[in-house]
Amino acid sequence: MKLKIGKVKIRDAVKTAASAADKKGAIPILSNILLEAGDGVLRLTATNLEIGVSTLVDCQVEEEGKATVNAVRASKLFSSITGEEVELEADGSKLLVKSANSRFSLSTLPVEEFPELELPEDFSIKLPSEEVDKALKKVSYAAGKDEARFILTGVLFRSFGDRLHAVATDGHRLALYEVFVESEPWSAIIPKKSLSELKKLLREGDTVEIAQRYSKIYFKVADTVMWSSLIEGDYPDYTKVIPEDNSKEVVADRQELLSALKEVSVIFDKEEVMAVIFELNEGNLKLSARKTEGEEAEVVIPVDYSGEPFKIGFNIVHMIESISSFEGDTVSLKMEEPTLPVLITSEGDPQLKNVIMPMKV
Amino acid sequence: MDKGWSSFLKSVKRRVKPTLFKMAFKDMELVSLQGEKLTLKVKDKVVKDLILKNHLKTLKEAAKEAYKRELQIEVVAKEEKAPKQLELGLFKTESRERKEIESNLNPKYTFESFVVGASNQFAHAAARAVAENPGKAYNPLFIYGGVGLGKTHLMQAIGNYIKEKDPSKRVIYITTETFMNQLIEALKSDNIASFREKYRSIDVLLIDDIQFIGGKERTQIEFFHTFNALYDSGKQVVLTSDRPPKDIPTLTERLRSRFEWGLIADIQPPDFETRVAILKRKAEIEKIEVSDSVIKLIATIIKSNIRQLEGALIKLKAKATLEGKPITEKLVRELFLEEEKTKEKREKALKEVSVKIIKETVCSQFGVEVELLDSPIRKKKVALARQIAMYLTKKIGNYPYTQIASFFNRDDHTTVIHAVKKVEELLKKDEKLSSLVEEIELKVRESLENSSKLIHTNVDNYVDNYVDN
Repeated sequence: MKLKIGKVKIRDAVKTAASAADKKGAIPILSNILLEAGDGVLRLTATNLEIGVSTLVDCQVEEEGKATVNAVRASKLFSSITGEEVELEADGSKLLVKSANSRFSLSTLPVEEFPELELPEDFSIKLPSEEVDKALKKVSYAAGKDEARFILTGVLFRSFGDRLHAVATDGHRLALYEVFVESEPWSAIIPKKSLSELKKLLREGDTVEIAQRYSKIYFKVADTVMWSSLIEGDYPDYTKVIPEDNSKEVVADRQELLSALKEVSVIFDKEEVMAVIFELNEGNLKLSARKTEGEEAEVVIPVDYSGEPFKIGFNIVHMIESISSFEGDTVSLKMEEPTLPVLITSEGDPQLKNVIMPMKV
Repeated sequence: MDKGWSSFLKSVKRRVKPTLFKMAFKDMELVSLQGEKLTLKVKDKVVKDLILKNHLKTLKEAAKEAYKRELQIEVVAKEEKAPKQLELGLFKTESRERKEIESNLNPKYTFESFVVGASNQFAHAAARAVAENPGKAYNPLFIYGGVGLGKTHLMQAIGNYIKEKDPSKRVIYITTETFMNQLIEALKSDNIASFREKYRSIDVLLIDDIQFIGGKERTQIEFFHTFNALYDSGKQVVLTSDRPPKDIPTLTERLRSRFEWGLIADIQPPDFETRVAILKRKAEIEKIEVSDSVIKLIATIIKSNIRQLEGALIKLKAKATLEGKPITEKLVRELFLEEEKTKEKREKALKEVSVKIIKETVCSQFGVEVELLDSPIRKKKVALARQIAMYLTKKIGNYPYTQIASFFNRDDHTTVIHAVKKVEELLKKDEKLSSLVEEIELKVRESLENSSKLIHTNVDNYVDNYVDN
């Protein structure tokens, strides 16, 4: 392998690929980037077997071939090297890197050790990157952390043909973001830890193309493909826990409610069960919290409410996370009974729905 | 007033057993003393019910002593402490999928047939609370106590009670061992999904002898997930063990902590009154006519184990029936004296058998006739065989030298001491002999094991057929 490439190009490509390489180094080859030169392009690939990234850059190939190089070393090298153009050459067990006035010789691992990969040719699903990014931002916080309910530790993407649902829930609260976009029906549960890599990728271009093969999902933006293993199994039917007919509605100024919640939460320590009690009366909402040792907090805010006096308890963390995830000026909480799920929506953010299960207080 | 309170507590302490005091009264708080009413706060509803049912009189007496006047006692339970997060219900199983499952409950075990006494009233109260409010009162309920004190009875009573109230409830009673075997079977036949489905779709899971899960890693993992699935969907789990969770060896920390989430209730051996009550109840159920004095006598003799207590009554009936005698104190004494005698007889028989086995095995190895060992003959071969037999008798049975001497028809026990010493020295020097003796010893121990199926008396046989435990 021998090629010439623009320094900025190789720097960015290495950085992109390096983020998927294994950082723990348990299997040495996985902390390497695979370089494949052929027909005017260089492909850089790295994977930790959970996720992987493969990206293409233009270059002048003098001699086709393959090599591997340590991801961390390579990204340090290419971000500090001077000069406009660099020359890469595989020389036995070494990779030679030359620029105008520097020369490096890096050790490599045998190319054959690198896991065999086959990228799909046909990406049949096309979605706007921005919407997918937004969907992730709006729901991923609600995914579960409990490994015992492994299926809930991922984010569900489910397309019905004319619209796409992004869903996350930990069994106590649920976030659903709906995107109206046409695509063939598909669904996948993406592990939470693959999401940060996916978010990075989504910034690279306007359209993301998706393909699913075996138990992996592939995302392609511009010249970069990122893939992730999937969580296998049947995601529970979330639609049946969304209460559409709740009769008691309160509408509050979003910022006002959020700061009231944050105020009340001050009395809690991190480890505690943080229950906040909502007491609704005509025109106002009283938020209160009480600790077993007797410390108390109480905040009253004006709201739009005209029903019977009503009292309901929530985990304050669920409330704060939910209210902050909305964008509109107001939020609406629809309730029925103190032990039944509550639906949260916002006029200014019509694609997002949150369901929170109350606490019995 | 504080002085009155502390003397009230002291006075209560004097009146009840230490374990009961510690469990029910120690952390009691004084709410108010107004006029003729003393209001007390206890830790939860179980304790409250327990006090109202059994100890109100004691408290009144103690109050009278401490405050020097008659007081009405009111008991309140501390309000539910922590707020509880409710579930979205994503994993609710559809009712149409419900298959009938085998509960494995023994209808004999009910709350009605359980005799409550000071030693088990806490566990009983907790079990009742769980039976009335499955999944809500205490989850999990962990009952522990010694063998034959009624853990399984209480646990099954919970199941029977729930089943009776609502036959559609899915209740499973299972021993830890069966659970483990089913798991292994499911793993072998690649059927783990249906195993999970079965255990995660039930309403009440009763697991007996959970201490056996210690060290079984795969079972612990599977049980952990089953437990979580049930617990998270508000299903009741009841566990029994012969010891508290903290004393179960090699139990993973996460399981241990889960076992301690709910309520841990212990069962102590019954006191005399309870033993009498149990015997009376048993006599009634089995339609055995016995006088109070007989019952008291049995309750005095057998102290720790309810199963033995009930067994004794059945034995008594068996003996009376077999010998055509009425059940009297005399018969009880006879039976237990005979028990003692048979014990001695058995031991003696065992001794004789083992000496015989040793002699026979040694002789067959050395090609010597058994009778020669007991004779005065001092031929070299016979003498060596005799000495080795003596040595093994000492080593295996550890009988007194004098006794061994008499087994071999010798008057002087120093002969035996000499023989043992001599063989020990020979073994050190002579490897061939040493391995031969080792071989003989192994054979002896094997045959001893086989012959230790002891001679049963006819009463024992009757009882074996009668008692299902």
